[in-house]
Amino acid sequence: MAQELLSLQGLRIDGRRQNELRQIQCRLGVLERCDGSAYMLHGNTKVIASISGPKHPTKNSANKNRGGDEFIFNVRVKFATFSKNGERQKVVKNSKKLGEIEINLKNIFKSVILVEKYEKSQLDLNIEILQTDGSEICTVVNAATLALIDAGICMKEYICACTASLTNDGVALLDVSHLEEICGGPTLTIAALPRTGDHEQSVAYVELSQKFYLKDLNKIFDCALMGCEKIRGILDEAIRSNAFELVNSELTNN
Amino acid sequence: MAYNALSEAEKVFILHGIQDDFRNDGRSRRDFRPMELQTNVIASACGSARFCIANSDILVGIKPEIDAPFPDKPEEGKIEFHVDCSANALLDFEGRGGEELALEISNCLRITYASPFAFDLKSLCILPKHQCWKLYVDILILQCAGNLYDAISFAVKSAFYNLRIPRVNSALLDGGNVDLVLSDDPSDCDRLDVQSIPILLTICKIGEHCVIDPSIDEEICSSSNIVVGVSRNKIVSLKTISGGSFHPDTIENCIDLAISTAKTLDNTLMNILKHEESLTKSKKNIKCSFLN
Repeated sequence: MAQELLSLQGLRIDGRRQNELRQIQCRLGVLERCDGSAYMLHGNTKVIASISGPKHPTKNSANKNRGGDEFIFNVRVKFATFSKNGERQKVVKNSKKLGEIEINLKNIFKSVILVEKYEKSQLDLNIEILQTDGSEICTVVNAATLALIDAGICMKEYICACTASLTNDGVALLDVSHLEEICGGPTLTIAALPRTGDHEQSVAYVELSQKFYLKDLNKIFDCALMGCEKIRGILDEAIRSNAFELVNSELTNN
Repeated sequence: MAYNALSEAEKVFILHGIQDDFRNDGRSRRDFRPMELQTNVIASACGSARFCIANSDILVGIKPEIDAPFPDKPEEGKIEFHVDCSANALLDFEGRGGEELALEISNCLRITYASPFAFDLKSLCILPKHQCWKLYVDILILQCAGNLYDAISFAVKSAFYNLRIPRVNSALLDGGNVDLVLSDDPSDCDRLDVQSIPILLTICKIGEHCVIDPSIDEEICSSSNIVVGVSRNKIVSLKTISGGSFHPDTIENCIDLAISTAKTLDNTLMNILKHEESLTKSKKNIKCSFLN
């Protein structure tokens, strides 16, 4: 390993503590011409998500669905050509990597959206990744949650995603940056429905790469779940302050 | 262009408004909508800018790469434009081919920047015949509310102003292989002269009058559109878009209108860019737009 992930003083490469998130900023309703949109900045990862719908299914997607009455949820993810450091990204259509992310997102959100309310209708989720610095999937999931809420889509719960990694000494690291991702170590991505009232936390999506000792699994899992809870707090605050502003501007306008 | 449903009565209303020099958002025929500008928004690009005219929201990132020059132009660098209608803007272009529009815009930029008056491609040369910079200008349309050409050209100009190309300390030819030494210091960069970089102005003919900065609704009502590329009082490109035809005299009027507008607009843009740069220098991390 080229670089130590955690210094002797307990600080990471970018100066964070072991269980510290990067800076998260989010804003709802950034695009005027969609039904719901959100912008999310997680460290240096920048994502815009937008929702259009629910609407009558277009011919194309209805055909794909073989004329069923089910809820149609389309996800489109795009990396901007200048999103990564180093060489410019080529424009590729139907790339496997994007396809995989799209399928994952579809499954994650179908588990929280109240599907039975949206039979015979279509919902499009569009995601634009402007800049990447690790943990793209979790930023995308969080941004999409905000966009869905901005669009007023009925959901069971917020869905929050977070990543965690492990150092050689078995210390769990919360919220992995790109530099830490390429420095090695297993990376766990989790999307979870946080704890509310009597509901226990439940996990909607897990992805884990590389091998490591089984005894560390709980540690890294707990670390990521704690991150999800923290992110839920941030999202919740953003949504409430957005709603508050909306109400205020409505009241002053009338 | 983006699709909006307008009834006959609405079209007549817009038409009458323009006849009386009072458009439905309160502007006169020669007014622009409010604009917003921010440079250096994308850290992974060497030059970037976000530009909005009302709700037309454009993001531009420039990445330089080293490439071999064209054999017929050994002393010139290359520029490539790529327009991308983002998934969000695609809602507007649904079923109407965002790709066609993207191609049209990137072609228009290409012919505009091909003029030697507009852009000095020689400044991108590293070693004649062997190596030059190739600038990839990637344009992302985040939102479309009319007048894309103008917004994109301003955004591109701002991104060029923000562009910093790594400095080449020495370039030697060693037995047919080029030996480049780039500066070690990341802040040691070359900047381009942007004074002569052209801006595009769309002139929209609605009824008997020419209008600048059309909104989506006005674009639907227009009989014909012409895009004029202006660089320091010189016309560098002229292109009609989206059908329709002009009387030759009208074209002359349009060009006059474009040049006079471009002059003031270009000056303002340069001043704002300088002002914005001094602002970001004095105060790091100011949060003024949603991209930061």
